[in-house]
Amino acid sequence: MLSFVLQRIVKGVIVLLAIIVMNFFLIRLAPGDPASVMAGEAGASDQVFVTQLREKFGLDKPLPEQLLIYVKGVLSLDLGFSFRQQMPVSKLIMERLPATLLLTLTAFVISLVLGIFFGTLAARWPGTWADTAITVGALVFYATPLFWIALIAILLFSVQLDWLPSFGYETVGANYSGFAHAIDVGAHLIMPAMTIGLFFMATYTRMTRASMLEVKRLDFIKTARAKGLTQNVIQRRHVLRNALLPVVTLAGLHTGTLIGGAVLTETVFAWPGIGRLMYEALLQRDYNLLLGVFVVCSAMVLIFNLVTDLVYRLVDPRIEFTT
Amino acid sequence: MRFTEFFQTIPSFALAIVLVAILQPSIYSITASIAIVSWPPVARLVRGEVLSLRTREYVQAAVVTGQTTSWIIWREILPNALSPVIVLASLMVATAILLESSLSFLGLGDPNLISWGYMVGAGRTVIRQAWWITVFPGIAILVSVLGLNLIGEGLNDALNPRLAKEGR
Repeated sequence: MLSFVLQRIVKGVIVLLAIIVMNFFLIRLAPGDPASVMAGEAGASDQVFVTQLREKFGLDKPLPEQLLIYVKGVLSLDLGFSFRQQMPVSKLIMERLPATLLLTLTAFVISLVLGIFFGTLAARWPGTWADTAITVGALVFYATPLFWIALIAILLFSVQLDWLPSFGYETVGANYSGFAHAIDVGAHLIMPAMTIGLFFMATYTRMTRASMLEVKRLDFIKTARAKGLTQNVIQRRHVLRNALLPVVTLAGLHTGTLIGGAVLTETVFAWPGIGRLMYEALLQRDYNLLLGVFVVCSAMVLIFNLVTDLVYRLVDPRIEFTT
Repeated sequence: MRFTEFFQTIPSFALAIVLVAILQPSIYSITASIAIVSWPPVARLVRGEVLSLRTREYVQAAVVTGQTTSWIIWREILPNALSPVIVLASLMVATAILLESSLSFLGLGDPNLISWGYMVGAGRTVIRQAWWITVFPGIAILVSVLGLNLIGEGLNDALNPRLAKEGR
């Protein structure tokens, strides 16, 4: 168990290093050399300043040495400086990280719970109107662009019905505290979380349904039925448990897409997370910040993947800890 | 396959954003970025297919008759491994449309080519006064993606009933 966790962590660190190295070369693909890009961002472009920057960031050294400096910097959580925002990149990201974690984790839970619920429902009575309705609904949500659902939700629930706030993390200037604050944040959270949640719910619904129908045909289900267990017990204890495995696999693989979804929804709802930060960096062509967010997103996905790998063990004790 | 795994770990949409932003938005950079983030599932699928086909008897027969490895791969294995790839391709076009529209929505579209995603993004600022600018391009994306997914499922059932339930 422990050695498995260690092995996975080592593997994760190697992937992270590879991503950092890729990042290093990506920023060199950006137009202009880094020093003049930075000088431009700082708003000064005279030759002395550019040379100073070159020396400060070691850009006058050979490429491998620069790479080493960069990797060391990132590993000590120094992601560079954003001249546009006049703040270190890592500080900007850390400020925004909790909002994104709240949003993505809520969306993740919503999508898994709803997806497994509807998938189970559809697989319980295949071929009925309930199954058809769920299948068609899942297909439609699977094909809908996230940002469009977000806008339609604003149109419907904020503009037309005036039920929910259309943007932000909390009501500006309201200064709620304690429980009232939690309610306020919750009201702001519903739409963005549901937007991401619905798309992934569609995927998990399809997956759960297909996987349950497959398990249902297996022999041990017949045995359970012959033993005289009720349909509900068979469904819950025998079918669902075995059918969840591929769903968990998929959910683990999807964390990267979840982050992509966060970029879009945070942009639409002005949710102050790192997705929104990425969009701001994009608008201002702030490459340092953009790549910083990218590295942090990748690291988050790595951690998430590790966690799902461990959850695996809980869902299916048959799996051995090997890499 | 480690390389493929590496690419699958990276958040694909974020990578696409970074690539297009750095290479400057144009139809070429957008196409290239979508391709760069979409290839790993194909590689995995083909690898799996080839691994299962190489143990088939007709492949062993080809080995016995003294064919070269590359001849066997090109003439015996790849044509047989193609049908799931065709299915995946139609699903990937659907995903590519979603990716492109998302990129254009964020303002990373080719400035000389207006796409549906760009229209939704542009209509966003006037959504209270002119909702139709946002609503209809979105429906267009929805219908095309849904159509392509259905084609994919149909092809899947037709070409390999064996894999019919697996989807992607």
